[in-house]
Amino acid sequence: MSIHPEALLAILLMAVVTYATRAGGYWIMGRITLSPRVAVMLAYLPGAVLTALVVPAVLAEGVAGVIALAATALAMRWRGNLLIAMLAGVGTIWIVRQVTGG
Amino acid sequence: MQATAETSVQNSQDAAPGNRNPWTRAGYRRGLLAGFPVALSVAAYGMVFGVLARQVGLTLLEVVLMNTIVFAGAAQTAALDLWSYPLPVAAIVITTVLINLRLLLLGAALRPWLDGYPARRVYPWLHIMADEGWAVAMNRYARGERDAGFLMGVLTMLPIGWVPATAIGFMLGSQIGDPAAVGLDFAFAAIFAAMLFGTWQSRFDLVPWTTAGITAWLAYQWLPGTWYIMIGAVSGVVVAALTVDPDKVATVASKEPPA
Repeated sequence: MSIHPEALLAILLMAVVTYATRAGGYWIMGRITLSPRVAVMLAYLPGAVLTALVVPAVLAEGVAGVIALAATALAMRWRGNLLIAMLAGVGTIWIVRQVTGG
Repeated sequence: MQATAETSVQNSQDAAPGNRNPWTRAGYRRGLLAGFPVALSVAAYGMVFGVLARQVGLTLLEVVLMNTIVFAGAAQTAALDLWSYPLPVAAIVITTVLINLRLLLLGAALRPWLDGYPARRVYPWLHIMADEGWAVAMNRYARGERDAGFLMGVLTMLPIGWVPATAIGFMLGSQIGDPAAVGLDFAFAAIFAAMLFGTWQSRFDLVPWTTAGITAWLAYQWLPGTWYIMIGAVSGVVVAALTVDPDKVATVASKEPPA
């Protein structure tokens, strides 16, 4: 039960920048109007970050990763629930590894 | 909570900043009820987060602190992915910023609902504003709900669902041995992918996402560290700006309700 100094620093900085994004949008809306182009870029940012995280992680797993990604996508489309979709991905990669002995 | 204490005066006393929306105790209670199912799904994901946090070596105190003061599941999950000592603090913070920039938009969209209320009443609540609760509340706003108490009630359910669940997940995590043996090492990729598919709006998403994926993969292979996240994300939004017609997608600028 302790806190590593580096972890404390990282968590505090994460907290500061996260609150800044929460309060910043509300604050700035009282002062400026967003250009449509900038609004599009901000709207696409979360998807772009997630894609950048997902693609290397999946391709590094090879074929098993691609199959598990497809299972995650299908489960998300089927139920629209993060937990179920994640379990589908994890379960699928486990099965593929058992089958291929990887 | 302190905000609900002064609610009874709202309806008689909203003259000063114009016609601001009501902020009532009854609205807060309705919000708590509407937020209950959201709290359950947030709790389920919170337990997964707790399990993953233990596996990358966070202590229980670190988990509780992070979930209380950062309170951003997607960014925290990405941080766990980078969590090995010595901690790449800069990469963790930059990734947090990139993933959380969307919160700017959520906050911006709340402006019309809360306009006219003093900063000291609004800003403390913004700390618990997160996607799931925001979406539920904004959906009701679009259907005519105007009570600011309702919004705060929904948001209140988010940390109630999230924080205890992460601690429970952390404690249950000791029951799971080698994460790779049960496929849990793929959990990060799977949860990010699930979130990604959950944000799918239209076919306009395809070109920016493909660009982000290809550039991230190339950067992952050729560059050190975590540059691939930033490079993939930036190329994706630049391509979005070049290819997406702002009138055809939902953004804050287009979705903003008439004030």
